[in-house]
Amino acid sequence: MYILVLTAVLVLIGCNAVRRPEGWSAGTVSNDTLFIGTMQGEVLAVSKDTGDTEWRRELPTEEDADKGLYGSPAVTDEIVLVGGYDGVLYAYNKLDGSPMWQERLAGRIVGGPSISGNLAIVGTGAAGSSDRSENVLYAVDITEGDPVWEYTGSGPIWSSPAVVDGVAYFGSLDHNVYAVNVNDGSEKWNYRLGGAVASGVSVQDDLVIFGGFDSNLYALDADTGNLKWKFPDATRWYWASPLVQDGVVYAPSLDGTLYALDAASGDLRWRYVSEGQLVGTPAIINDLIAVPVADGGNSRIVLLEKNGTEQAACRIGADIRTSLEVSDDLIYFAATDHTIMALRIKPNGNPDEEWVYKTDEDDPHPRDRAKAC
Amino acid sequence: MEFLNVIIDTWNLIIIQPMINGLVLLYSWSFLNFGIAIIAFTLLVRLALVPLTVKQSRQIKAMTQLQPLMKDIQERNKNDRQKASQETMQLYREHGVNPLGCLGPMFIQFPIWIGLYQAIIQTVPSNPESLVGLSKHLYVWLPSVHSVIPINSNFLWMDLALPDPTPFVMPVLVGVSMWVMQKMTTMPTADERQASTNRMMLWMMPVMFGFFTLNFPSGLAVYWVVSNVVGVVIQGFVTGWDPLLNLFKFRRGEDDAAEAVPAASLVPAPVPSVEESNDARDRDVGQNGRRSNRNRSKGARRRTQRRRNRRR
Repeated sequence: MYILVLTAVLVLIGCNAVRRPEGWSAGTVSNDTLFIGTMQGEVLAVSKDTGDTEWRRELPTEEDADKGLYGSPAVTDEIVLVGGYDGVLYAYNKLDGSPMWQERLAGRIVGGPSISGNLAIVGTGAAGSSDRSENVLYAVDITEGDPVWEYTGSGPIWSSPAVVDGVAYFGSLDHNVYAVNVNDGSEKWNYRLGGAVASGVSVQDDLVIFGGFDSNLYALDADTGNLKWKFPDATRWYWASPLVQDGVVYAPSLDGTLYALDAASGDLRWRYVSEGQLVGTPAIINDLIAVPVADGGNSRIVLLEKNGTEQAACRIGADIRTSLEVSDDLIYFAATDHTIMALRIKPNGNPDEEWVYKTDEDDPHPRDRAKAC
Repeated sequence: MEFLNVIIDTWNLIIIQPMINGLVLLYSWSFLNFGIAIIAFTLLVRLALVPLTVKQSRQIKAMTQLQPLMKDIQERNKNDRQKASQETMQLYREHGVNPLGCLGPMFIQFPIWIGLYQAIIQTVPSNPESLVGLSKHLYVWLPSVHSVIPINSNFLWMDLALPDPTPFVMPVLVGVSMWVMQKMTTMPTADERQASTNRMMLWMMPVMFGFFTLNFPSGLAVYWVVSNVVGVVIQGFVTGWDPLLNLFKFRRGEDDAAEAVPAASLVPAPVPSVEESNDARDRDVGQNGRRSNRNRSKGARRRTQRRRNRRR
């Protein structure tokens, strides 16, 4: 009896209480600097070539349960904007990281802000909350941090808005994709599907392309919101935004498959099946498709040719939940072992670890790691 | 490491995934209210385990009825533990009681409780990481479970993914319900050390789980409270409500009742076999199960004393 009780206690303690958010910020390269969020809830600016620290700022979040940075930083010529899981939009000086302003919004911020002129467009909301007042798309003046308009949705907005021709397109966990006019926040159209939409949408050639929790990939007319095509082959949710380039849609699904479709018709061209989950958006580099495959200790960055053939791979050794950022022939991403990595893709297509930045010097379980590749 | 992964995968496949999908399915049928889904799911699981729970409760009752004789054996053989053990086993055999019979059902139920706990934690997304993690547990062939994600975790005054904001209501409810449950199900023992441990556990478990409730998602607290209440009801119907009713009696009332017991009743009747009817068992336990046990123990001690006097 007491062995059972003891085991129960150990299991309960081992499973933790409410898990602290870790975040999965992707990077943004501007000029020679990579801006990225860390798992400790910091904004980091490092040299994109060497990984040397330029500045580092911890978000002034008090509660551990609120710490976390999920979206990519939005960067202008002067400021760096990040949305914290604590529901605050922070602005830092791009050069030295000094705080410029901060604005508390109605709910948690998961999707990163997008810049449109002098406005930052960002959505809020917490999963599981039915409080409508938390589910808001904001347009915030980036010089002062004052909200200019608000659009209240019926579900959390975790999608980083795609702003094209004065319209912000975004998905919501309320099973809708919305198009909202950036100048006044009025709704242009909305499209309801059979599941939540956590990812951002991609807008290309008048098509709004996105995947949902109903395991379908959709293409809508950007002007009217009418359905152009639907691709139903995935077996699990789409979590990351699709990548669209040269008339091809590369759609990563949590079923571990990267689907390559014709953007105009939605016809399948090929599929690449991995053994893990595809949580982040792929990127194109040196005419190759770089795909982050999350599979615990077997997580890899896989490089595919444009016909879906695997060219090379680099085993990372920790999960990769973020999208990839690319600049020149370098790929940047954060891994769950508290590292930020840069891989150089050599002319022959093979990856080579360029630098690694350890964000947690007090890591209780440091890895005596060899070069990833 | 490979072996551990196989165990985890098997555990997820057999226990966690059916529970998570069951919970989400119930959520979709219960007006998208996850609190109701947790309550309904707990009731269903406990209903499915009723045969085991009843068996366990009957074993506890049978053990209770044997306590006077066991105490007698221990007193007679206090210097010969081996003989005491042999006689105790003989007693168990004669009355068809399996001392491990209480543990068997508990062992079977245990993985289910742990699984249910993990299922609740994983179904309610407390942050984006847990929502991504939920995806791999949902059945591909059950589209209706995907269409209701993410779960709306608001129930009464709580967000079921987070600890009770009050923050004392659920910890107190969990603690009190667990204390009553412990009181109803604690197995009696003639061993003084064991009895002392039981007394400690009677308080330690509720305090411990009340403390857990301060830090764990309140959805889990709802499950604990409902599970305890159902456990108390089942135990009450099988073995009687006396332990619960005794809680509401005053000390004086107890003493009066003890004095009112006829002297004849202090002499233990032959212990009925477990196979005898439930009615007979209820009569033996009497209106106050714990008190009549105590009286029987006194009776057993007096009988032992009489035997010793005769030997002299």
